[in-house]
Amino acid sequence: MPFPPDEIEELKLCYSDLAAGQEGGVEFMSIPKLRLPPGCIPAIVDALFCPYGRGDGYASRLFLSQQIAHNGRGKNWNAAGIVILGNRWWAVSWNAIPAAGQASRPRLAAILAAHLEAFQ
Amino acid sequence: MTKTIIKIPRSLFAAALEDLARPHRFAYERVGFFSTKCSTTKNLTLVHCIEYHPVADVHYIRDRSVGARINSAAITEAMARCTNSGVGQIHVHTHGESSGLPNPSTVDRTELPGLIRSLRNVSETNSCGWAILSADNAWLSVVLPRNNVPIERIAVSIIGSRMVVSKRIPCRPKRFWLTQQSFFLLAERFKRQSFLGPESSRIFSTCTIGLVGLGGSGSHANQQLAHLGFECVVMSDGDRVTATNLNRTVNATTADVRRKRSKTDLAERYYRRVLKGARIVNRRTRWENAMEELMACNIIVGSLDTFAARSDLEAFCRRHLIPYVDVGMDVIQSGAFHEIVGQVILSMPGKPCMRCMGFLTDKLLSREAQSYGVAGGRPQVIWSNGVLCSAAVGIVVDLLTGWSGRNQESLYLNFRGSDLSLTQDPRLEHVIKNNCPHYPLTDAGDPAWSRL
Repeated sequence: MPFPPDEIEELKLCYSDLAAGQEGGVEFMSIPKLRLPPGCIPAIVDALFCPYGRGDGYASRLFLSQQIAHNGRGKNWNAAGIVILGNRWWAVSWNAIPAAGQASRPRLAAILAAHLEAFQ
Repeated sequence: MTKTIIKIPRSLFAAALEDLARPHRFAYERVGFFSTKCSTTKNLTLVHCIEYHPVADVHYIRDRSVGARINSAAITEAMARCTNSGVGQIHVHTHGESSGLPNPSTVDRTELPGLIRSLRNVSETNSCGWAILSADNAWLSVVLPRNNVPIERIAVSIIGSRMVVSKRIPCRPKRFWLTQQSFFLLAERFKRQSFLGPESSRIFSTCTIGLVGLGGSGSHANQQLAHLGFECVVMSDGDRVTATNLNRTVNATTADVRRKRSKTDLAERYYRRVLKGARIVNRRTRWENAMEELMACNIIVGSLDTFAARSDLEAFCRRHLIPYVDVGMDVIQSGAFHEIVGQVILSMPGKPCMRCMGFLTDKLLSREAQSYGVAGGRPQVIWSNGVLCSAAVGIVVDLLTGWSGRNQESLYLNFRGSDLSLTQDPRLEHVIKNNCPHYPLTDAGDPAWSRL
């Protein structure tokens, strides 16, 4: 599913260097230098955003280029150093949006914000 | 020095040969182009041929001094593919050899480098070159990304069944055999497997096999590859042997448990006992930390614990055009008794993947993600691991030697422990002729990012 242009423009207000990539029929978005919520160490990491899921039980996922220290509720790093699009990524188990039953899909910015709540 | 391997999927190789064999109204021969993408690391460059493009009949020019001459429109089309799709181009033609390594003619050496320089000007980040195909091999001259000097002594790998791995692959057998093993042993050693073909010993000493996971299943594959005479292996496993491994990891002892030896060390120890001169890359870590070494493998055999890990390893193999053989087993409750279930899958680049075959599903991966941390150690037994890994090694040998003549490029075998049967999954026949929509050949190579 291609990313809706208006939602991309919305995201680009905060992250200008967005890029799209595909693997295994799944769309990914690269977000370089993603600023994490206060309290995260490090505060800025590269991220790989998978807003429409990759068939692993999560409706969407946010992968980070490294495991971070934080005070949020997302403590279960169940993707640790996995390889996607040639790089290694870490992600916490976090259902940012329900996997099914969503009448209207949230906007990309809203999905990303919901993922960042895991680290708040 | 950077190692280079050219990879041509057999489907593209066959399509090119078929097209090049067609007669033209006036040209003596035909030419075509492969689109290429690269996978690059510090020490390795894989050049993947991802599409074949015939040259239209109208683009040939009458010229009796050469076999075929194409006009500027054909060259412009090739250049456009470079700029629009971010690929390189390899000019291909054939001299009609039925087998073996073809040789370039004087005309080839005079005319084609100029064309490649032109293509190269619009495709600096990819590989351009020219190739001559025979029925089962290829001679190539390519210019690698960010490099201006053409190289010719390149290993070629034709991916499919039967696989062709050229002699110039970097992982060479050592001279050790000739100096330290007796001639008698050398001659006798593989006598009983001579039906695999006169080339089999050469193939086994040239190919590199990746073994990901060296526990219950992987240890069997390791053992068999050593006895068969595969001289180059890459082993990857981050685990150390524990008491729970002793029921099924061949060659593991209580002393190994006491000393907390890594599983790859046990595998290497066994391998060297059987095949002293073997060239082994031992990575005592997860496969994700050994990607560069695994990229150089001709085939990877994976015995991983989770479906998610299988999915990730298959994605890696598809990206670098490496045939992947997956092995796994589980024990399930079946009424009042138990049943052992397992699978051996051959996932060939361009052909149906494990999702196409219905083995990996969203439901399965979702269920696995939900049970994270509570599943505990899965039951495993040695005899079923042995059956499954014997089948996997059989698939590897058949791919490389073609001894059975079946030329199967996709396989999905189900194992049932109660009747010790290994049968083809019925779903495979419905998808076997399809190309994989999840991992098209055009996605091979380093990831392509498009700016949003």
